[in-house]
Amino acid sequence: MDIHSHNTTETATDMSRRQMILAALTGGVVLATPALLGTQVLAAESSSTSTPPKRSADDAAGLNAALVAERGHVLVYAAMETVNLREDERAVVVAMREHHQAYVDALKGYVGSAATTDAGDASVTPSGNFESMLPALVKLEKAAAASHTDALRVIKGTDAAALVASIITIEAHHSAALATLAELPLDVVTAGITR
Amino acid sequence: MNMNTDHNTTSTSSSTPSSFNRRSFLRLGGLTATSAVVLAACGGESHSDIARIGLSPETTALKTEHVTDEVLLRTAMSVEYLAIDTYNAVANANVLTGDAAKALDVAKAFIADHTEHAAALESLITARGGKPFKEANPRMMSLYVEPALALVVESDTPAADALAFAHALETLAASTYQGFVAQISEASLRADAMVIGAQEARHATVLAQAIRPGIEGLLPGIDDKGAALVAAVPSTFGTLAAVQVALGKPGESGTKNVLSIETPSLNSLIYVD
Repeated sequence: MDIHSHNTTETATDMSRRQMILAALTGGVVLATPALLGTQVLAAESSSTSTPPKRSADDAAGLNAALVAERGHVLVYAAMETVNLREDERAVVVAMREHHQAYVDALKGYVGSAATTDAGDASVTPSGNFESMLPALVKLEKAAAASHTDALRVIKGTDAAALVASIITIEAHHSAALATLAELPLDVVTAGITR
Repeated sequence: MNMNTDHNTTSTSSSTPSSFNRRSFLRLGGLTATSAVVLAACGGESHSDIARIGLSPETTALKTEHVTDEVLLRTAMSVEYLAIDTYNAVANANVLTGDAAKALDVAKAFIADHTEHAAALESLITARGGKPFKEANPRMMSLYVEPALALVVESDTPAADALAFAHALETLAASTYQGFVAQISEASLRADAMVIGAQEARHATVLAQAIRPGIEGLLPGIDDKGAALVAAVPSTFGTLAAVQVALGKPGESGTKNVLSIETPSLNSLIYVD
């Protein structure tokens, strides 16, 4: 290669063309890459037309109401632990109490310093044995899920909504599991509470 | 190549700046032209002007889709029809026989529930001026349901496998609604979604009890080989994790095929046409 065998004009043109080819090839790769990635990874671009907030200070009241309710559910199951229970029944009662305590902790942690100190009330007073308590516990769990579902209608933040939704899912499992143990009809087992 | 030997850079005072200028000009000119081409290439406005060597297939730009509330509701509808079609396919496959025949009544009741869910979603969509989607999710059908049903039919224990897959599908449906809550922009729609999602969770519980009945089946446990057992109350919080289900005839190692099913992803959402 001898660039001095050309005049100035030809040399400039020659360099420019070589560079242009290289640049075009590079540019072509740059342009092609997103398209190739697009077909491999996604069929479409993800976006939202209206993005709700992840957190909202307005949600504290609704979450505090849920927190108080959950504290009440903890009291119910804690009281049940004092009743004469078989080992397998006690395991279920303890698990349920621990789940509701986890919801208390999660809600309290989410609300932070604005969390209420209201201890809540036990909505069910344990009496009799495990079997006799089951219908009342089914109602309690259905009411808990329904109450949290109502809260979702006013919760603005998606993080809080996701937390409450994850609680509703398991409280639905609680109610159906207890209803199955109580040998309630299938339509009662699978139904929620309509408000 | 020797750029300097062929030039007399010190011949005259007038030629020196001219020689430097020309070299500088060449460098700068080349750099400028390259930069211009690169910038033009990055601009993406006129692809047809880009130099190209050899043959290259024409590319078609992907359509930009938006994940709106309508898309999520349409996808939820497609999951409901997926469940309806699955229960019907299981019923028609005659795998629920003998003691398992009573599961057909449960399947019929769940079909009725899923039909109600689809109708509720249709009304939510049309109330917002949207277009309902009255078919099973095509991608989830081909990825999960069709392979699963093939495994169920060839299984040595088809009734048990059918129940296991139905449980997995109901768990997936519950997770789908729970997952959509964080994506739905309208608060009241989140509640509507969870009314349905909670019932899917209750369906999963009923099926979990059919698989592992009684109080011992309420909480998670493991079998004698250390494998996780189905539980009516599977965890403390609802999870969005993939649901794994073992189906089909055991292989040489004695284990069944494990199918991992996941909530709808961007590729399986039902976008608006």
